[in-house]
Amino acid sequence: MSLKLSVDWPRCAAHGLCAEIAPELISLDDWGYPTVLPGPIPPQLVRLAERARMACPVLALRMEQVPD
Amino acid sequence: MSGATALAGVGTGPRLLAGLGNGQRLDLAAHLEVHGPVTSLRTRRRAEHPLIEAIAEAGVRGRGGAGFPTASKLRAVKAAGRRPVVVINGSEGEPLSQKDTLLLLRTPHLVLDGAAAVAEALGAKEVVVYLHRGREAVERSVQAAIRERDDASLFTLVAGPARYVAGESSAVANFLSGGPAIPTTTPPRVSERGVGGRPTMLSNAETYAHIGLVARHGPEWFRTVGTASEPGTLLLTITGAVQAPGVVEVPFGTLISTALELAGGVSDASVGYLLGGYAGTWMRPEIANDLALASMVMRERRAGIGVGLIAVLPQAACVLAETANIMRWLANESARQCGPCLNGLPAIAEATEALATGRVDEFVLGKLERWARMVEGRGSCHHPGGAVQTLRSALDTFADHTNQHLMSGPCSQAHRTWLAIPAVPTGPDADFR
Repeated sequence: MSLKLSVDWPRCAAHGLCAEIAPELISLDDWGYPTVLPGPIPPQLVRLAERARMACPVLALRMEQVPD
Repeated sequence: MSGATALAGVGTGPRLLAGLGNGQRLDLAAHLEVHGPVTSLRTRRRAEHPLIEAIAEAGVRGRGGAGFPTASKLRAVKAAGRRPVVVINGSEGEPLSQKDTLLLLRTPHLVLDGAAAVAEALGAKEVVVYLHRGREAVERSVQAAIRERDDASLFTLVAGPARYVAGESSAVANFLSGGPAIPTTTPPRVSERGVGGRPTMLSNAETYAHIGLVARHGPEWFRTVGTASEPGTLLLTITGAVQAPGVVEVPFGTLISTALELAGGVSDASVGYLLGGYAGTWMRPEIANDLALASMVMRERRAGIGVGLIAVLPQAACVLAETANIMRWLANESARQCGPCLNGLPAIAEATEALATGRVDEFVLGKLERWARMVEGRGSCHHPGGAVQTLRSALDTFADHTNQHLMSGPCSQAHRTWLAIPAVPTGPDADFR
């Protein structure tokens, strides 16, 4: 199993904190909404991803276990 | 409803449209005369309900656009454990599509039979017939059919907002659970947690009509026409520049040109066909005519059967102007709950309109491609991805015409459009309530 980031789209309100905290994993589109790195989170970036997830004011960033 | 004609299918003759010649509507007596009663299917393995086994062996796939194997959905609902709800999605939000409406108007018992058989197989005690508001004739037909049946108490009719995304399965389940008719984040899928939190078997009206026949004649009969991976027949709505627009039934694998002949043939020359729906694929006639209505074949051309729409655009039309109208409509039909769709579709619509009307700068194609990538696959439903598919197919297939617009301004046809665009919704429909 590995971890993967995803966005709960109806919740996301383009605060942009996730991209500020984890630019290695998340960038923002033309309207300030996140684009997350596809595929599994590299192990050395898991803690950063967790911080980005916790920073979202509306809890719209999800981190889920996916089968390898 | 206007213009829906039941035409004979090719090969072994019509299945779903049997008995519908001369504008007939099959009441219960006529329905039983044409199709006979539902008899119980014999089971072979007894591992599961014989109907689910028969649907699996028949290879029935959903006819709402996604083409998902119906047996897999039934098994997921069954596996969820709790008592499920069965929903017939008859909302048909695709603007030009008429096939589900035709079934519910003219042969409603076939649809209700399929849903009743599914309810029995799943142990469900409730079947909801879900329609768009404002289709009184369909409501009257369904209500009249329900009243004629011994199992009338099984059925409830609910009409929801007449909005495109309101027919998406999670939106339907959300509305039937008391919320707005907008798509919800998946997972959970509707099959696991749908109406009122219960497992929900939600399928398109045409899908249940096919099940109504599988329940009578079994899987071997079902597979006698169609292809190995897509057995059976399908309904198509053929509209635009054809002699006899309407709904036709053909086996899977039929050439598009053959299907068009059933609608009287293309009336004059055509510049292109829109296949699948407004979220579909533009194709040149000379390519599309020789294409078989089979998902595997169409996928190679980046097209799909979708909801079975074939819109034939006349020669005197501009694909870019039509596409701009469709993009604006799809932008207006967004549920406005996911950022990329809320922002991206209006931006795409505006740029496509600029391309169609000639108010362009040299960056417009680059912007369109950038925004297309930014909305695709980002959102809680496939609405933005569908819009992008139509856009890309227009720009790729009609690259010459696009260049002409870029170099010398709009063509002489760009000021008028042919494909009907529904009005901007008002009242409760505007809020998906």
